[in-house]
Amino acid sequence: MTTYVIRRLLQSFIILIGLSLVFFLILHLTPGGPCNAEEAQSAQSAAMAKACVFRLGLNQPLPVQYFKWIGGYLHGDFGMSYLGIPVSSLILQKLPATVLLMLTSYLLQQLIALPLGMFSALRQYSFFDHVFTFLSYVGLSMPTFWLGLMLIYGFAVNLNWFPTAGVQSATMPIFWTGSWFHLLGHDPALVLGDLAKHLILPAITLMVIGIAVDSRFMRASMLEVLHQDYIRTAKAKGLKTRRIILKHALRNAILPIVTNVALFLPALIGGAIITETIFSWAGLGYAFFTAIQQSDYPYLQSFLMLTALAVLLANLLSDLAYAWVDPRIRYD
Amino acid sequence: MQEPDIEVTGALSDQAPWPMSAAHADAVILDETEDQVVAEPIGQWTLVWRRFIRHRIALIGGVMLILLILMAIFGPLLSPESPLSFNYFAGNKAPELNWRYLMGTDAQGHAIIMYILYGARISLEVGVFATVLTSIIGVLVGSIGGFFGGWVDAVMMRLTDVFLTLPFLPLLILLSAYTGGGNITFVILILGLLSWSPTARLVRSYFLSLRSQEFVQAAQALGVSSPRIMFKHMLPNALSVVIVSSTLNVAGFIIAEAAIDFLGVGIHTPNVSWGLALANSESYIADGNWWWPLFPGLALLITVLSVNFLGDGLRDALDVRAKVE
Repeated sequence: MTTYVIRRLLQSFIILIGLSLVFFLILHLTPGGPCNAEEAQSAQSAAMAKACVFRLGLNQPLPVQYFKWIGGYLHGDFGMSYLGIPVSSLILQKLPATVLLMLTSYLLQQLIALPLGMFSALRQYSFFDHVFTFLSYVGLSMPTFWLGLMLIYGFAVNLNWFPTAGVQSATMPIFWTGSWFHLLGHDPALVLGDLAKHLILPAITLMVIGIAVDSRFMRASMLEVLHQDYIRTAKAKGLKTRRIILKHALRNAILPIVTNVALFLPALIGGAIITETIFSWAGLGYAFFTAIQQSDYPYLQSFLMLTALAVLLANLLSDLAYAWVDPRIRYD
Repeated sequence: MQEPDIEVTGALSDQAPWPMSAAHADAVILDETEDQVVAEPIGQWTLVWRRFIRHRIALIGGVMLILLILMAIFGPLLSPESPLSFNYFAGNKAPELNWRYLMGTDAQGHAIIMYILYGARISLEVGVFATVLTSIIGVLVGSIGGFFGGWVDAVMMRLTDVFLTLPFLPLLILLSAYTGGGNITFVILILGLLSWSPTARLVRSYFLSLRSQEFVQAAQALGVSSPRIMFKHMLPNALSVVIVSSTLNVAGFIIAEAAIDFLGVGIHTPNVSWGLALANSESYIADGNWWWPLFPGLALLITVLSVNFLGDGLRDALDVRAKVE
């Protein structure tokens, strides 16, 4: 097992290096850039563009730039964002909003999806099951950005129940940045309520596809377990249906779902670029979208590396979780 | 009748959505007649076709898609106006029973139905061509790796691993922003290059197991060339799984393309796409013209839904899961 983990970690490390090259080349070989050097019309703007290129170190040969960037990671230096602050502090500043949104929507999603899938499996081929199956198809096919737009239209613009954008109202202190000190003088219930109001629409937007996927997964998993011999044995023993389902079936049906939790890690960190952008949710994903427009290479590279790292880690963790919950699976 | 067993192979694999007893019973009877060698043996594709048309939901998806394709072909003929025409007088008009104003107009007076009819082309083009590209690359990489094995396989699979880890959406947005996403060919290339790796893995696993089978060894002993064995003898056996995964790819690509248009890094005016119509409506959201974002989004949803229905039906008709196991 240990050798397996070590081998996987080594493989992941090699893949990560490959990815760093891919990211670097994509950013530096595509046209355009932070200085608009190609678009300079007058001599003055050309000179400014040149100064900009020089200041950002973009005039150095590509291998030099690459090794400077990668070398920086080795001492925990993520580079300097073109916004003038270190990328690492930018990430730390944006991370809480993303994690808050993703965790909220993920938890709500599981709370809705698992019972839905379970009931649907218990009443297979019933009217409820058919309606559920159709709706899960609709959920799977939903363009998230359109859903977000329509939610804003209906609940924020028309009904005016929720704000259209942002994490908190302008009058409220953003409570996770800066010191806790500036929270003084504000009613905590008001601050949290304001946050929750901003959170609801983007969380729903994110949830829909997840509910469709997870509930179908849960339904299939439950159906598989219900056809097993030990469930029949339990029935033959005369156990109550409720007990069979909750005590015997549910536990095993939920296992594949539990091992899939690790796969949520990339989303937790990478966030949802589109949803964050629609709702101007000041997280990592929205920052990524604005960084694209500003050609903020250091931030873009670090964001891509972080998401790739999260994917690799998540895959490893979910494989290990499989072996952990199911002793029949062995890696060597 | 005994209920068919369910296997959990992934988030999307699920039991047939509608009662399948009729289709399954039919398939069983057909299998038996094949064994008994009745006058006219039924071919594999006939069997697949019969199973498919029994699958109601898949049939609905297929019919919807044919209608959509017809719409994409004849859309410009049906449209009351061209995207380049101007109509300054009837902006922000609510839907009414009239071909031109059936879905209302946008702030500039363009009929929303024009966006729907013209936009179908872009969505279907991107969906289909990006999928073809994905499948070609995936099949090539997977079959070469699976057939030759050894270091060739190792190289191919490490390459696949790298592409499998690429964050799809961030890179899609970034690349289409930096390559001037206005060009539809670029969008197709980007989608294809970013998404071939799952297909490659799938094909490779099939080729690995096929390679040791007798018919391949027999072909090798007869001196048949490697490419001919790979594509003439082995690929047809892996084709059904490629078809199913490709169909589901189409759905993902259509949404992805609409998403980058929506974010403003995809197709630009004067081109017309559903995602672009949604993007344009966003700035006028406070005006209360609900029809503007509603219809392009519905068109998108219905298209993707049809593709997903079709994909699910194909999976059951081609009986892919049974073969994977």
